[in-house]
Amino acid sequence: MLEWLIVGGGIHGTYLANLLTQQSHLAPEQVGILDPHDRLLAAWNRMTARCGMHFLRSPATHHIDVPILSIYRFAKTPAGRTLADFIPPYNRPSLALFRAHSDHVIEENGLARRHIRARALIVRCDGPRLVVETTAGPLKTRRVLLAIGMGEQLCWPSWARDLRRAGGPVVHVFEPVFREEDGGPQQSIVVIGGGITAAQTSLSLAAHPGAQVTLLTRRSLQESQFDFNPCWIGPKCLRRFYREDYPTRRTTIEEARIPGSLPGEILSEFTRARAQGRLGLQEAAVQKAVMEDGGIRLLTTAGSMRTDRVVLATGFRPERPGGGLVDRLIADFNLPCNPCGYPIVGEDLQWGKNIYVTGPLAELQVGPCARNIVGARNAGRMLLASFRTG
Amino acid sequence: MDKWECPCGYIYDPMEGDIENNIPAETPFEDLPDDWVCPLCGAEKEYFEKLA
Repeated sequence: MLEWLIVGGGIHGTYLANLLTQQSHLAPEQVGILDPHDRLLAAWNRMTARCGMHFLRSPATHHIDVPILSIYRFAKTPAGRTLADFIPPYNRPSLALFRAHSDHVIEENGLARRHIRARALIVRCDGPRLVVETTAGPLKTRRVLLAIGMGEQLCWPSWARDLRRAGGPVVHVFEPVFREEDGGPQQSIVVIGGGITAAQTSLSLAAHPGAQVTLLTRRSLQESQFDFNPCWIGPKCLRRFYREDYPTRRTTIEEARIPGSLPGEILSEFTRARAQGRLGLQEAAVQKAVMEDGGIRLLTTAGSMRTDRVVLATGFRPERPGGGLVDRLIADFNLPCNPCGYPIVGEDLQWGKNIYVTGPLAELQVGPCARNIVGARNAGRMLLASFRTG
Repeated sequence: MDKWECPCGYIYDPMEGDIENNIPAETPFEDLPDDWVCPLCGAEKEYFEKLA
């Protein structure tokens, strides 16, 4: 029987499996990572590769290994040396280095052997154990850790949904079917969104010969190094957060996160490309979209524009992730939730008896950085602290 | 010996050191290795401010 079954093999699930096997005196085979993809980090790797990312938005000290300087050490090895590239301040690593380092950590710590390729369907109680029914059969475990991200709930504006239903050439950048090169050369593309993903995607698409790319955003592009103030990683801001009630914490999280912003070097690159006529920018909101001669006519608050293709970089729907699995879990185990639908968990991130959460599901306890890589590291600290003191 | 605060609120107290990163007690901030970083958020030494 497993001691821990981690549901989700993304950054959070992989890091916490690594941490638990290294620092909690468990044998590696007592930890399982349940994920339907063919390998760990598959969805994260796909999404980051597709949106034109070259550097992470987080510092080099935020990664899936336990020693905090692990990426720097890896960057000095033959495998990492050629990929070693960092952007100051905070030394944000190149995506290539981060991925190679992640592969190295997974390999070195045998984490791929902890991967169970299946999807969780239902969690049920069986005496002192939990049983997770999966697409590959039942798994018995003492504890379940839900490490479910937002990746399966892409944000589709209603006009875009209608357009897709009508067979229109509209795609979300995080959909598995998205390919930059789809649609052929000499095409006009409108990218919808106002954040780092929208800007990177626009720049990447504009690099294709003949592509005429316009970024359509509801508000001006905003510069910010990170998507939250670093004070939210530690006690400077979290001390006050912990004194708030849960509804107030939700408001605090919304206010603390900086959506629709991009780091200075990407804003500079975007501004340069725009000045050179390589892409366009329009501040407006789409009100309606209709098919027109094989393309799309967008009716916006600034007028009307025609395009061959629309690419959405609109992020994720904000509701609690986990879908039916988590809905059923709440009902069957009578788990507490805030009015926003998110879990109310203890300081040890325990939601119900032997049911733990990390990532967005833990944000009312971990705070505004919960979804980020450093959120996984903070969650790990909370989990381990409870076992050391408990 | 002075205490130093990270932008995330972590306070380096030289009397305690940083056990997680093998920094023994009674190590002044100035004597921390160049590659030492905040054990919470990973900020480098240059981002720390001396506490009054």
